[in-house]
Amino acid sequence: MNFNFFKKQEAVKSQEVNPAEEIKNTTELENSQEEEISPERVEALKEYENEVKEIASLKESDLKDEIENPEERVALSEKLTLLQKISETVKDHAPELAIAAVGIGALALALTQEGNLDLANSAAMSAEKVTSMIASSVTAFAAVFSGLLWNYKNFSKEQATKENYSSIDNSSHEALAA
Amino acid sequence: MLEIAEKIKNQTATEEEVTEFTKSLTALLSGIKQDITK
Repeated sequence: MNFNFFKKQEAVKSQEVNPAEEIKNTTELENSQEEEISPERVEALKEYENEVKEIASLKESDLKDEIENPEERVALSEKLTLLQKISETVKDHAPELAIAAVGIGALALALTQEGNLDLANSAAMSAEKVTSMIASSVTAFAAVFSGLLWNYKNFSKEQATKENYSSIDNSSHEALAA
Repeated sequence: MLEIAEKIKNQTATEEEVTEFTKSLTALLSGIKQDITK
């Protein structure tokens, strides 16, 4: 997986392109911007990549059964909400960051045990929307998270809306088939 | 973070701001990971 978000922001300046078309041109734009990336940003990107990979590699057995402490639940909700807002804001200029949005879908659904369904559904829709417009390598990450969703032992199917749940599952299967 | 995110969206963020944003995002993800793992 190639984490290069923001590299192309200068290259696309003053251009009006749809996100899907822009993403198709990512490699070309990245190449033209490669020399402009500072060593500090390269290091920051490596750390970001490692963190995302760690989250994506989480297994069911790694997760808490539930978050019982109300204060902890509120704190996590705030972090997820911030992450969702950030992802929505920069997704057109940083498709790799969409991974975070995909992750939100899985992570937020962990909250549904106590019924924070609005946040979970919002995150799941965001993840599905972003996943549909990014590269297959990134979409494969969606498969990881989707698998996590399916296997999350305390997740209740009945709590999630059928439509959202199905859409994420479809993304998973499409990614695996690619 | 949202302020820098808006700058990124508007393509006005500096190199330093983008780097700082990336670091903050990594810290945010790390915090979420810690919250949900045993």
